[in-house]
Parts: sequence; structure tokens; C-alpha cells
Amino acid sequence: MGENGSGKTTLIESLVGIIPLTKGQVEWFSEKDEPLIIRNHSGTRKKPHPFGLTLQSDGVCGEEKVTERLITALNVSGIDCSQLEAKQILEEWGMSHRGEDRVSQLSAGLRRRLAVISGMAPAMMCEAPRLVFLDEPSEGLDSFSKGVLKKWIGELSQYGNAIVMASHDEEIIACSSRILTIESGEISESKNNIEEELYMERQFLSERETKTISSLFTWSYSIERRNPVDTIGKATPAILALLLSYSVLTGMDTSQATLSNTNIGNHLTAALILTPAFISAVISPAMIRRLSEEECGKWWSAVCGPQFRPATSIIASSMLLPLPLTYLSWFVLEGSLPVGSSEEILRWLWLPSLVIIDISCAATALHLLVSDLRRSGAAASSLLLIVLIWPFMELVDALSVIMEVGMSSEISIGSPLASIIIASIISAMVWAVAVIIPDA
Amino acid sequence: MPDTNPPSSVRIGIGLTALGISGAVVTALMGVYYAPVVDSTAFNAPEAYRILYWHVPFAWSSFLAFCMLFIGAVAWYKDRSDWGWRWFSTGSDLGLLFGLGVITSGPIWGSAEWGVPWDWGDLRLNTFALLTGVALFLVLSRRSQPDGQETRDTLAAVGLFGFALVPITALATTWYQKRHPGIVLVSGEETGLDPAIRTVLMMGFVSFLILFVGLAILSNEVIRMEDRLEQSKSELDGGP
Repeated sequence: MGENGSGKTTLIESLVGIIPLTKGQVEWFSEKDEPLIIRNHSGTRKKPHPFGLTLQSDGVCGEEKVTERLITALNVSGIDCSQLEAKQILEEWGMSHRGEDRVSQLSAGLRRRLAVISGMAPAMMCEAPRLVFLDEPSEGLDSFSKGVLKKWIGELSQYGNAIVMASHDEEIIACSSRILTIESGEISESKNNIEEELYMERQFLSERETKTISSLFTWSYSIERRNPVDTIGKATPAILALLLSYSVLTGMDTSQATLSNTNIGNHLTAALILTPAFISAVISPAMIRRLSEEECGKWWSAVCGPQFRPATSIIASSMLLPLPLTYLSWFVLEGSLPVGSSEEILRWLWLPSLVIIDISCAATALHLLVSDLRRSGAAASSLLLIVLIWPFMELVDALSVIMEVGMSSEISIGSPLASIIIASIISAMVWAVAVIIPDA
Repeated sequence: MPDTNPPSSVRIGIGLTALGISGAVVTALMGVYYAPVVDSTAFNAPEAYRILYWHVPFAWSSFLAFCMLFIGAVAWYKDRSDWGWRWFSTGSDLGLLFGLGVITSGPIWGSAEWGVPWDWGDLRLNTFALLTGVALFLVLSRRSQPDGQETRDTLAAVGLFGFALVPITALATTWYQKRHPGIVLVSGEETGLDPAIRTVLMMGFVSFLILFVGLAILSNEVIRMEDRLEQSKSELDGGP
């Protein structure tokens, strides 16, 4: 309990690892009652044990479907759940008819209901006791939902789960056995006697090893498949750049005889071929915007732990586009460019394309770093991407050498293979720095 | 009646800034009218070299500012200290100001002397450009983002990222330059600096250093006052 701004949300978000600690540590006591430091102020951050979490903002992306959201919350927590089982859980909250709706179609109250179910279900459906964090769970709920919420709190308590709640709601506070009040930065504690009701035995779902990162990948993939704004958002400017290059080149005399006058050499040719893929690599991924919706990223960051940033920077990057875009670029521009051995170029074009995926991961890590800001849309993230010009230029060099003398397995400064390795190393270093520093 | 007189540190800051600007103007005038013309056989554009009387002090001042930014970022990250945040903010403001001075005056001279305004293989040019880009990002973000510990943490991380870019840039430009011969700044025999040139350069260094200190004091005071104002507003949020 506590007034607005007293620090209730800060406390919960610090406990689950969203806000870094400035003092103290978060410990997890094992079954043998041995303390394990999950997080501390000096930067230790370990993968958390599975827990349930409902944030003050719903933490749900509008693109998700209701059932999908619930299944994701359970899967992340290491619980297998079928569509039918998810529907049964939703039925209890009067939401089964909304199962196939997108979250964006729900009213604010229904979205809140879904966020609360997703936070409590991992503990509710699991036999082993778990920890659940609920931030203002009853905010925006109608009397029916509040009734179910109180029932679930009672049941969770009966099965030995621990629930940490932040609330102003007297009805919900009355369900708590221990009340902490935050006032002017001071915490006071009081006990509360609650009448224990006996609930019917529940059928638990089967548990498995937690696979948070694969759940994140599945979540990202299914949303993108439903609404491919990421692919379209990256491919459109890339194709526009390609068409622009084509239009400019077809208006120029690019024959070998006039090469020296028009400065169209292998370097420019290589740059024009690789530019569309490079553009697609540095554009901000849609996944990052999705994670910004209703603080969805905070929820994922809490449940995934320290692996969230590196995993997201790879999952959200442009994995599929660089290769087809580079080959498309080649086929479109080939007729307008004065290049030598087409077969040799076609044979090796995939290699620089693959390194553009590295560049994309580095760019995504930088976008992710900027997305930590509360108003990330108001930040000029492109200023941080300038450093990626070097790996791109290394790739241009490599491709131009392949065009000029062909590919060789030699690794020496100036050889195409060395340039490609250098481009990859620079991208990897930028990625590593952007991923390590914010969580250090 | 509240005391409306500025604190003595602000008066000192204004005085030093005015002195520094005057010194910079005098340096420019001396660079044009007093400093001798350099050997026309050693430079492609002997007259253009005069811009270096501002370019080099700009570079030194921005180097100091970036160091301040780095120290501030580390201090904020380590202890969440207020002075660390003030150093970080001042470092980013001044880094942007002086960094822009470097990366505008540099290409003007480069265009005249090298024939190209930019060289992707030049370490100093690119390092300053990247750090100035980071400083611009930080200044814009500090204005656009709600102030709070989370925002400060993220911006301090970006500041540290900027510094981690320095060795990466060094490697990248070095690797890149191996295929592109370095640009020769001065060809011919090695000679010491002309005493008149040295005098004007020293004048530039001292003036820009005074300007830097003056602006740093002012920036520090502005940030301190902003913090106090925000604290007073927060106290009023609780109601009368």
C-alpha cells in the first residue's frame, strides 16, 4: 500500500528485474532454504525462476490474440497448455468468447482482465508453488472479474504460492495476510487475519523445462506472420532505393569506354548492389515497436531475465531479407552495370549478404538500447548507427575485389575474405557493446 | 523579497565565457592578419591553413568535454551521483558545441587541402564525428525524455557506448586505411613551428580553454537550478 508516487510499482519492478537495483539484492530461497542471489546492485543478474507477473500497464501487445497471449504466458513459465485448456481458463473469467480476438479489439477492462489472467495462470496451473507479482490487479476490473480475482488469490494462497501485490483497493488488500505500507520512503508492516476458504481441487497442467527465448521467438514469428509490417517496412525502402539506382543508371552511359569519365567503377557497382540490403538492415524493427506497446517489452524482459536483450537483438533483426534483396539487386542492376565475370559474382554474393545480417543484429541492438527510453520515439537513434558505415564499406570493398579479380581463399589485408571477416568483427563488436553496457 | 541576484559562480561563468569568446575572436583576427603564410610548396591550399587556429583548439576543447562526459557517465552508473549526472550533462552539451566546431572546420580545410571534405580512413575525424553524433543524441534525448533514474541510466549507457566506439572506430579506420593510403598533411622536410604561428595557436588554446571553463560553470549551474526547480515542483505535487 502507499500513496501515488510512493514507490509501490518501483518496488515490484525492482524485484522482477525491470528496474536496476541501486542498493541491496534480490534473493531466491531454494527448496533446501539456501539463498541464491538473483540480482544485486553491482550488476549481478541471473535467469529468474519462473514466476507470474502482471504489470501496472497491461504488458500485452495489441497484435496478440487473447488465447495466444495466455498460452505464451504459460509456455514462458514452463507449462504446456493447449488451445482447449486455455479456453477453459478464459471461461472462468468470462472471456472464452474473446479467445480469437486480437488484444487491440478488447476494451481497457478486458485487456486488464487478460493481463491479470496471464500473470496468475502460471502459478494457478502449476502444482509446485510459485511467486506471483501483481501491480494494481483490480484497477479497471468490474465486480465479476474482481470476484474471480479474489477467488484465485485465495486458491493460490491455499496451494502455497506467494503473491506480492501493489494495490489501493481495500477489497484486494483485505485478501492479504501481510501488509507493507510505503510512506515517505519508509516501509511499515502489519499482519492481517484472513478467513481461509476451502476451494475445490484444481487440475494442474503438465510442466516442462522453461524455454523463454524460444517462446519469445515463437511470439515474434506468429505476430509477424499475422501482420508482416516488419518485412514490409524494411523491404519497401530497400526496393525503392534499388529502383532509384536502376532509374539513375539507365539514364547514364555506363559502358566500359566511359568508365573513367563517369567514375562508375567496381566500388560504385558493389555499393549499389549492397545498399538495399544495408537499408533493410538498419531500419528500426517492428518487434521493438511491438515491445514498446503497453510496456510489453518490460514484461518480456522480466520473464526472460538477462538473456532478453541479446536474444531480442537477434530475433528482431533482418534475418531473411538481406540475401534475397542482394540477389534481386544484382539481377535488376546487372544489365545497367559494367561488370566482369557474372558467374563468379553470383557464386559469392551470398557471403557479403550474410554479414549484412550481422550488421542488422548490431543495428537492432542499438535500436533496442534507445527503446529503453520512455519516449523512445522522440530519440534520434539514427545518430548511433553511423558506426555501421565501416562494416558496410568493408563489404563494398570485398565485393568490388571479387568483381575485379574473383574470390580467393587468401586471408590478407585487402583480400575479399579478410574484408568480409573484418566487417563481421566490427558488427559483432558494436552488437556486443550495445548489448552488454545497458545491463552491466 | 527573494534574492534575484545570480550566484557568484554564475557571474564568474559569464565573465569567463565573455573573456573566452573575446579571446577566440582575437585568435581568429591574429590568425588572418598576424600569422604568416605557410610554405606554398608544402600545402595545397596555404591560405586555408588559418582555419586550424580554431580547428585545433576546438578539437582539444571537445576532447576535454568528451572526457567530462565519460567521467560523468561512469560516476552516474557507479553511484547514481548528482555531480556525475551534472558532469555527464555538461560534457554532452559542450561535446556537441565543440565537436560541431571540429567537424565543420575540419572538412572546410580538408576540401581545400585534400580536395575531399571527408576521409573514412581518418581516425581522428571519424572518432570526433561519432562522439559528436552521440553528444547530439544525448542533448536531444535529455530534452525530449522525462527526467528520472531510468532515463538517466539509459542515457549514461549510450554515453558509455560512445566511448566504447572509440577503440572500435580506431580498429575500423585502421583496417580500412590499410587499403587506402593515408592522406599526407605535410610533405617535404620536417620543420618546427614558426614562433608567430605558435603564439596564435597558444592564444587559441588559452581562449578556448577559458571559454570551456566558463560554459562548463554556466551549464553546471543551469542543471543544478533545473534539479532544484524539479524538486520544488515535486514537493508541491503533494498538495498544500
